[in-house]
Amino acid sequence: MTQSLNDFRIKVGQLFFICNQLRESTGRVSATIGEIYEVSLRSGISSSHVEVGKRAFNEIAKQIASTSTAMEAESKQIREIGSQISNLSLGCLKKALQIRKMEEGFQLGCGQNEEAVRRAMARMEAAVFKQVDEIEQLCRRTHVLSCKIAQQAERLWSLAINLRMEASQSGEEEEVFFSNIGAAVAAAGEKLKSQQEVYQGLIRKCREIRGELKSFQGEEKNAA
Amino acid sequence: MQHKVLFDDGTTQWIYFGRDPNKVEQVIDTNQYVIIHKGKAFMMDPGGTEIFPAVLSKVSEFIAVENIEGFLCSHQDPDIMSSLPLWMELAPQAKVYMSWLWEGFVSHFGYEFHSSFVPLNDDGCTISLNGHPLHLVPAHFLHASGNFHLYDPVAKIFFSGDVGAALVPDGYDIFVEDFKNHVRFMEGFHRRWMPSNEAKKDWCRRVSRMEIDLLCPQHGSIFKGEDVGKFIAWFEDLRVGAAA
Repeated sequence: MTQSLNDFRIKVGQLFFICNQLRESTGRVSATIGEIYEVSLRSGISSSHVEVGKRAFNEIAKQIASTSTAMEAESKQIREIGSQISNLSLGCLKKALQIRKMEEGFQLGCGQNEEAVRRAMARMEAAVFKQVDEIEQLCRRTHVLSCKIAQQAERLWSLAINLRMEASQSGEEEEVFFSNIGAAVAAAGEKLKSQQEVYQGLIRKCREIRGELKSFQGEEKNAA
Repeated sequence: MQHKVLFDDGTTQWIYFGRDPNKVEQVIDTNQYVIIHKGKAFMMDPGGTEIFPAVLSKVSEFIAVENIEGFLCSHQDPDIMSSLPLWMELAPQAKVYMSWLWEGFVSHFGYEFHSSFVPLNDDGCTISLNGHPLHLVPAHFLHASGNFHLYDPVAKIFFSGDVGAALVPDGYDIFVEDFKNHVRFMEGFHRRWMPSNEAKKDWCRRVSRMEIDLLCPQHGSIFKGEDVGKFIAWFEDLRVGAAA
């Protein structure tokens, strides 16, 4: 580990950088889902005022509302996980910097404390790898959630199209109103899709770095 | 990093560490002090992260870190204690004494060693280093709102944190050799950093009653003998803070 300590630190720095982007990305995903949720609430309220013969609106609006409510719950989880990942990566970075300081002390010569310094460095390295593993587990969880959100976004998009079609066959007033809602849901769904792609990309990158970091652990074991 | 044994009666040692010639210019020079009594140690203001390697290396010549029983953090500044998480990795058994005011703030360095904190109430207290008494003396608003100094009544040494600090040039003596000349290195510092004349007067009144052979600040040079009294008198007369 000592020889490649610098590379290790750089990798931990990269992990921290990506994890922070991941956290920001979860915030953006969550905000877009919040927008969808607001629109779907509006459509639900409005559809309940539509006359009895046109209750298809009501049904579609209900489905939009239930889908977006489910998405809202997933988005809360994903945001929380994003923040946990970011905190864990900060812990890794802090420890990597501490290892560097210990290493410097070690090189200056710690006499009777050499063994204690070695032990502390090993403890910190182990803690870094433990946190990296926790990041990996959270990435897996977040990947599952993200896939769910993607499916829900697809469903929402179809519902928005249905709403717009239904609106086009209705009276003028409903047509304008529900077309606008359908368009807003569809636009937010598109935005969410592209945000999800960025997010998935970041998870892939995070897992790649994690794999590279684990190879340092392998090196240490082999050296031992 | 240089060191100097300030006191040694065969049972207790006071050791100074500082004036690191390899320290980068941008990092302010700090003095670290360690008391060793019957194989156990107590460290005052362990210093910043930047100087940790050098301090660790030098301290290692005197004591195994597992024998460090405690740290006093006079206040919360980075040059005082940003190395604390590193020391706590090496000496998890040690207690960290600091003003109760800083407990929640210092936890930002790492919550994992929070259980080692001993928050001191404003009145201070006397602790024991393996049977050796050490008085933790209140010095609030000098300069931090929660601030402690340490007095060793056996060695007659007073650790005064930022009180008595001076911004001295490279190669300057570890001890104050010419008090009059030394004033120019500490006057500006005290005027700017010490916010309260009232707190200053109260500190001078209390400390002047103590029997002190060495007054050891965290920056600059150590006052010995008559210069201790000269410093207290000078400080008492100095207008500080907003009134300066």
